[in-house]
Amino acid sequence: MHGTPPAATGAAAADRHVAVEYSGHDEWAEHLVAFVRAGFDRGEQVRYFADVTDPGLVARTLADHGLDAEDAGRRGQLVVATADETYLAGARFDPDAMMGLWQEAVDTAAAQGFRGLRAIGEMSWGARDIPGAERLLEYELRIHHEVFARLPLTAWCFYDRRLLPRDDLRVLAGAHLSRSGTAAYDGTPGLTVTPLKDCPGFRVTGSAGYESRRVAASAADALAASPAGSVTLDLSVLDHLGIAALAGIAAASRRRPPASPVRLQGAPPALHRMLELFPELGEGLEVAGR
Amino acid sequence: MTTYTRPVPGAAEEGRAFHHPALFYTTQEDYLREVGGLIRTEAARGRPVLVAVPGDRLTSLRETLGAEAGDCTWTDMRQAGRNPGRVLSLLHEFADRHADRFPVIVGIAVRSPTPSAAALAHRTHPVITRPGDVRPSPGYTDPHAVCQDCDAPLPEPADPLVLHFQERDLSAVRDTAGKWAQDAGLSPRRHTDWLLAVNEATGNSVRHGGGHGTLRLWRTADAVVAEIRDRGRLTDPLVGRRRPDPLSPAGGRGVWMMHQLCDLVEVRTPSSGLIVRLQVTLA
Repeated sequence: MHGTPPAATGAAAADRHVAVEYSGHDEWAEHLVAFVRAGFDRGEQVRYFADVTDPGLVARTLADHGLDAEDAGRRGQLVVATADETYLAGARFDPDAMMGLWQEAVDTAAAQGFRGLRAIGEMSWGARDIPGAERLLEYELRIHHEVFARLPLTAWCFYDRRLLPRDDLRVLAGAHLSRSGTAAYDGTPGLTVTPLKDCPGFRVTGSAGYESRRVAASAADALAASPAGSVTLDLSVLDHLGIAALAGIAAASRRRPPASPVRLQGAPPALHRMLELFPELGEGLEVAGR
Repeated sequence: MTTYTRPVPGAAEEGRAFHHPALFYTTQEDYLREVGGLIRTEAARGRPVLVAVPGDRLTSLRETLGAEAGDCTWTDMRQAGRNPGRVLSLLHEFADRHADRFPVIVGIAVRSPTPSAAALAHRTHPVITRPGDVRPSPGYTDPHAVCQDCDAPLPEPADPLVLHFQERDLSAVRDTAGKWAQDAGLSPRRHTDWLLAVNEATGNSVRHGGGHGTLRLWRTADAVVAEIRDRGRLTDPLVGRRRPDPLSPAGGRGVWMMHQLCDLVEVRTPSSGLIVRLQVTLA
């Protein structure tokens, strides 16, 4: 399930799921035009899921930059919709449902004769009080292995720096293996989780204490939900691991199917010490070097 | 002191009672006869027995009892009791592990106690036993009142490093406390213990102590000390004395961990809130 992506996509999965940060119309337009132009050139279908942007502005901006958006829209190569009327139309945002929707969208694009699918999603809804929005990080973490490693899909997640809290933006952008646009962080230490490039799993960077409990919980949810036979958690560059984060990892491993362990690499001394105090947390975990 | 649980004679199996007498004795012969006799009797009845006494007494009891001790669990309290905050957890774990077999725990007896030691033993034990004599303790006091009496101000350090923190500072505070302890000379293993304990205490301040707190760090002749002050209230004076379920979504692991990781944990509850002092020896 996690093999080489279909040849039509060209680029590796890590390069096809990109966090794009911007903070103004010109930056937004520059990313938009470059992305859509590349899709048109390659004969791919392009879908734009707007959150705060007027869908009409998308077409006008493309036209202003010499792209025939009207014709592309008529031929079905360009589809502009809002998140509200598509994947946020249900009762709540559901990462599990999203995995299936991407498969359907890719299949539809292929059935319509396009060589692949590329999509832009404005992610500013993640900062609003939308049911399920708290699962956005889990979704961003899971999608690399569950979607991009399997499907001929290229997607740019548009993060408007003006609409998301700085810490949330740092964490959400950090969940992508590729990033574009100028990041503006204040250097505040925090926990970042990133998909592993070559195998199902995640690398955790920073400090996993009480202050980063929501990020740790999302990472645990992503571990639990991964359909891979085994999933790796790389802790080799982690500065600190507290008991709550370890308990979350242990609980996630117990939610996984039998014989599909969580493999911990680079476990810090604190993890070994906590397993001395609570050996039962080691059930379902394979700790390298232990 | 001899602490043990056993069923009320003649009661149904579920009608067990908790007995907590203190044994006063004067000679080694008295000690071996009284304590050894208890162990021998309970072992012969098939009860699980934990003997938690200082190493020299442990040796004497083992030599005296030989095979009559059965499969007693022997624990040297000079080691296990180094941090008093761990003792209750140790006893609880044994009692819980053998809950269906009426476990017996034999603790420290008091030899020729000084007046103050005898008074403390009377306050903390409902029953006093001497060789051939068992009687209620007239000085026995409600344990919560005893805890309150122990809640005395702690001595002030000379020149501590002071760090104020709230949630967004927790990571930086851990970094500072870690580097400070490294410079103070903590071994790598104890440094890990130190950081885990400081993390739990500072996290508790944010979570339960009003959202912020103050961390003070100083060094004594043979230890590093972290003191965490916040506006929390302690509802259970015996919090952290029973091993928690590490997977409990409600948490509740922090104070127990502090006791396991540190050599001494002192808790005070002044009107201003809560004070927790964590001490880790440098040796």
